[in-house]
Amino acid sequence: MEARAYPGKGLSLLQLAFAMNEELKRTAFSPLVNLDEVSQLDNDISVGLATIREWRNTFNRTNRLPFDILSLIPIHLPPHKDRFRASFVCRHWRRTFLRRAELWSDLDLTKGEDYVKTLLERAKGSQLFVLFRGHKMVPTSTMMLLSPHTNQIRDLVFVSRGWADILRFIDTNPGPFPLLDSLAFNTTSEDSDVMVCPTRLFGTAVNLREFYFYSTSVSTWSPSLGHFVFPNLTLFDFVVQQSEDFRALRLFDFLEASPMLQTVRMSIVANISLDGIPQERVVTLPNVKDLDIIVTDCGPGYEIITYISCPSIASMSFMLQGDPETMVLEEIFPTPALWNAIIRRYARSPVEEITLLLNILARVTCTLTLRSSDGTAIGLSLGVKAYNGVRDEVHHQVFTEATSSILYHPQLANVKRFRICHSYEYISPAFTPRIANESGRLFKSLGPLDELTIYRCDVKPYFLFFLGILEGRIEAPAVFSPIKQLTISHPMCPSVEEFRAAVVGLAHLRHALGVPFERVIIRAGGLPAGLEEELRPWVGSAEYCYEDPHGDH
Amino acid sequence: MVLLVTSDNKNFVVDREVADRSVFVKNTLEARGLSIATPPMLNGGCFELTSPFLQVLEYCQHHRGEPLPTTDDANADENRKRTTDIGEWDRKFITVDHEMLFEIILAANYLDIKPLLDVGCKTIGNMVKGKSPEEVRKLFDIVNDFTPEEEAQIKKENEWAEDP
Repeated sequence: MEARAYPGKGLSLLQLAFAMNEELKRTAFSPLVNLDEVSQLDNDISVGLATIREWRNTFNRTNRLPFDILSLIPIHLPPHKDRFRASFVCRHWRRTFLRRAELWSDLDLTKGEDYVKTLLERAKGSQLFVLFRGHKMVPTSTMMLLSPHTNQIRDLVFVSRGWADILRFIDTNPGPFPLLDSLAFNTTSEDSDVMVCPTRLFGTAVNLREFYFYSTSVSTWSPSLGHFVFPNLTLFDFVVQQSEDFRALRLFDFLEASPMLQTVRMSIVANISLDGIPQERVVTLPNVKDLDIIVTDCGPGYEIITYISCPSIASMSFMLQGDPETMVLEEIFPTPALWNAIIRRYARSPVEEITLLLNILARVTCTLTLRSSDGTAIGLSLGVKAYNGVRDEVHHQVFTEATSSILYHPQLANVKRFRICHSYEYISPAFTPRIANESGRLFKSLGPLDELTIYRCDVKPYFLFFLGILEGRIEAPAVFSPIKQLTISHPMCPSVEEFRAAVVGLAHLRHALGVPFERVIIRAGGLPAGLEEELRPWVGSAEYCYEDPHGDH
Repeated sequence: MVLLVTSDNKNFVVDREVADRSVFVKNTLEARGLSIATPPMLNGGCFELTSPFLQVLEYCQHHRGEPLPTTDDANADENRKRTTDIGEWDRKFITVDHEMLFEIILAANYLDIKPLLDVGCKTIGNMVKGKSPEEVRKLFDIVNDFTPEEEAQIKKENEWAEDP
């Protein structure tokens, strides 16, 4: 391969240095020397050296990558820092990256006017992702730079302390926003004065598909959902926390005006007011597949869920959170009739699987997941703040509430798989009989099961009911439903011997009652010696599978 | 089965399902109705192909049967690009020296295996992420070739980059 020529080829570096030295001796202190010429020479040498270095870089392996590939690399980098840094590495990288318009389409308006101008120039008309952060004052003149480019904006995110700046942005950039696909507000409203707000905001964003509205309001004024209408919305993510009442009427009107919605996520931390909503109103969301609602300290307003109907639902979850110090218990624990009204509304086909998950942290949370034969999943959760001293009491109440909901379940007989996860390291001896009593009520009512899974539980309280029958303390129910498979995963029994006695006792009892387990599977980090052999006379088959006790399964 | 011949005349017989991970090979076979292809002629054969090609085959074998990315899924494509997350197997697979990494990227580009190209570019992205320009130069043996005038512009832009 023929070597490429470089500027000044033919003159060795030694010859160049010698010539420079002679020139220096000849012209030193001479009044005839032109300083501009020397500066020019200096500059020429810098440019020449840069050219030589650039030439050297052409041999670098990164520069063998074609433009299309090299310019792909910064796309994977965070836009506001690393992409810039990558463009400072060398001339080739800089030229390559500056040519790729989409690398410069993320604009942070708080970085100043020069920055916005430069990026708009580099973005060359491509789609824009605009971020407005309220931690710095953004002059109106900077906002105005976007005015001719609103038709390029695809994402718009406002993280702001109040609505004043957002309204100023809207005033400066009225649109149109034909490409706007995603709009997000994350505001902590500190506006002290009531502001003049247009009746409709972002009215020209007719193609908006995703709307994120997070608002923590400490003032008496902020725009409500009533200011927005987006008929083509497919995702609505809503978080509101306010001291005033939250009016569900506006929310319902907004939802009904967005018939294309597919995903709705809402978290409301406020007293929910149902004022002005007729009891017979049904808010039908025809295309919603995923509905996720969390209401916290909302009072009787949790009933908003009963107004919503989603005929295409695939996954629905409703979480009710309450604080016993600030709410009456009746508001924290809705009636089983209400739970079952929700189940009837959202379970389109028979429920085949129920999972009961209890978590005890700062809140005692119980989640009941019901899965239908068509794959639809309904999650009903109850989370109650548990202070020290009342934790066991709250734990029991929540557990009782959950089991009652299951017991009143209209389709309990159809359930084929039942799973329990009671993630609590230690159930106190005083509390054990109460759990046993509740789980006993539950087991008595269940129909024939294909599988019962006990996961991350202290199994003893759950088996006490059966052991009580075995010991003659508890009267056996007239009909004892068969259970084909028992799976115990990650047992948390305090003692190995208690675990062995509980499992073998249960298997023995079911055998004696004529409804033996066809199969018992124990997944654990270890097993008491000889347990499989002890189980075999009483069950169809007994298997042990190693499961990492620290793994998450 | 498909016979693939590299530019250094090595033959590889692979399952059609494995060969089809490469859109280039898939299209070539479909267009010509052949079961034999001689595709990987990169840059006039100036690369020793067998070694990266073996790696590419290993990748295709591991991911055989997975759905191929569709060209019309623009949003998914965008989201895919805007993250540097790499699956565990892919991460181990791509933990190779720089020379091999670049060869794999070039091969993935030529053979049109988008997910592999993505893994390669993300890997370089992860190497660059959080590093100063000087650190990146050192990593890839690049010299600073900017003129003083260009440096002045970069200094200004650097303030935007470093502004939190």
